Amino acid sequence: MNLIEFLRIAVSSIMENRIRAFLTMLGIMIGVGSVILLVSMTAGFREYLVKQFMGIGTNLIIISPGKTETQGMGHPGFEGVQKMTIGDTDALRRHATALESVSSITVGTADVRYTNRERKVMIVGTDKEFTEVINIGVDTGRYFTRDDVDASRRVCTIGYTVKNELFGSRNPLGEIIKVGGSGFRVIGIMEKKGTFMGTDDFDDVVYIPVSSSMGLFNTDKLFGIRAKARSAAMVSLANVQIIKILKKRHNNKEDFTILTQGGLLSSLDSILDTLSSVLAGIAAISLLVGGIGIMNIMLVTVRERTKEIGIRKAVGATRRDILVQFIVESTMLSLIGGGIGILIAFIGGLIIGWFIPHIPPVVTPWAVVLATAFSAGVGIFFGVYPAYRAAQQDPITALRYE
Amino acid sequence: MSNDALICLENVSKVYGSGTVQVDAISEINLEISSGEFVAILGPSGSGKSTLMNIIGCLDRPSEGSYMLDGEDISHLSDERLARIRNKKIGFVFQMFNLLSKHTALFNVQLPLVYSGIGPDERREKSVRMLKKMGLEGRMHHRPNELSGGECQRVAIARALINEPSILLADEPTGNLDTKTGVEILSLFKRLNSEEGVTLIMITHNPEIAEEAGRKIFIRDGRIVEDIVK
Repeated sequence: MNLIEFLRIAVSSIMENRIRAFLTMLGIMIGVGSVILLVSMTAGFREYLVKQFMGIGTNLIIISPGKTETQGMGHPGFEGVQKMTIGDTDALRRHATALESVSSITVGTADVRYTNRERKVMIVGTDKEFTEVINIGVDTGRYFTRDDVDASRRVCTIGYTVKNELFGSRNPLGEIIKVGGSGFRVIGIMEKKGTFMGTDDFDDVVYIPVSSSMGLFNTDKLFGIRAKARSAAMVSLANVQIIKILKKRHNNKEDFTILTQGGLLSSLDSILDTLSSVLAGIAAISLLVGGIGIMNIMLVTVRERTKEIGIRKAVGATRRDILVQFIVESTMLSLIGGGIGILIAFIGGLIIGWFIPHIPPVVTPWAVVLATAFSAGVGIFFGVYPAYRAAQQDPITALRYE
Repeated sequence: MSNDALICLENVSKVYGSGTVQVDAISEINLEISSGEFVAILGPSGSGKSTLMNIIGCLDRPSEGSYMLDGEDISHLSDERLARIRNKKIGFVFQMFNLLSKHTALFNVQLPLVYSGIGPDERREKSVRMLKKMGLEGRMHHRPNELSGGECQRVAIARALINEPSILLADEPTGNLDTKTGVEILSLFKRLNSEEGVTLIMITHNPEIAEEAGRKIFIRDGRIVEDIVK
């Protein structure tokens, strides 16, 4: 007997018991559907995060004071962390050849006031090169120049939200706003940036020269340094240069942390991979349950069709014929269930994408292939025992069975 | 005993069960049936005639003794080989018809050909011809529950004959039919035997039906007690 004959028998047998077949497949449908959907959702989430990360800037290097990992036996003591200063920024600018641009950053919060409107806003102190390092530009007006920074001029650029809240439809250029009590002249309005990962609003910010910010907050400490490598290939060289230059300035201590986009992405990937496997693993349990469901129904089917098995054997079916017949049937049930499951995942993905438009699930081909292979495997694995039972039937007893 | 007989059983016994609980279904049966014979096997229930038929029909193997079918010793063949022999050389007709209830008459008749590896077109053509011969051309696409008992039995006979077997084995073929239909089926069997030379072995406990056979074998307690050739 060839495979086509077995498929023919399986199709007619499934068609005879449509409702039962559907209920049998339900477990596999849900299992396959949820595995694919969950994997797709993590993939979609990853894509969203990558887009967000890359949106900040390309070949971005983040340098923060302090070391996040502690090694060795030494006492953390006072000599542990040295503050980061504008001098560090200048040194990097001068000596780190792998860097295209370097920018200091201070961060603080202050009340910003214009006439009778007041708002608590994040104040970011930077310098001219900030717009080169970070993907942000000026919408109208201009950004501050090196002169502005060197002279600690009281000028600022404001984010979109700040402009709307304080000025409404008026033109803020040239107006003076009070930042923490000091007057700053608005020279530019920043591009609309939106939120990052749904938390920080990049538009609810006032940018002032880093020198002015140090005066404002009365400190000479930097929040950190942002730099941009000349190319993706230069990132690791830049890393080495930064360590060398800063260590020299910090008593030969590595009391700072360097994060690169690539580094962030790879740690993000490892987190998401784990998440994805865990979710898929949980969903795979339903595949297992679905497989047991198939075995259950196939056992009932074999019992119910004892007479049929007897008749088939009497007219010449071999054990192998019967075995293959039932395995083909359970595999077909499982594969059809898997197919419907894939369809469910696609439709579910579209629906989720409709509700959460900025994180649409990405259906990955390997998840589909894997789920299909898995469901076929489930059908074969859980079909073998019932099929074996069927094949072992003694034809005489089977014929007598009512 | 000659070796040219179609069926040749020598000292065949069948024991069911093992250890202390053993039942001798048939013991030391010696039987020869030639091609073209019409043999009736008679005996009360529990006499072992069904066991004998199962062995002749290759559904079961003898515990002891040898069984030569068409010159081939089948007493020790594997299950797979027995299945092949059932498919090619033996046609069964049962009291309860034993048709696949969810399939049409045409499908039922085709079933042995499926296991012979014959393609769908040829299968169909052969089965249609056979059903016509049985006078069922109008009933081919009906399922067993839409057919009368006599029609069901004719479908079963068509199925039994489709692979041109050496032997037609019938187990109480009229036992589930009314008298008139029973007579019709019996005359069909007789015609197949006399006109087409089909070797026919029929189990019955009805002496009237057995009268139609050319040879009557009586079985009691698993042994042949009488073997009458007309």
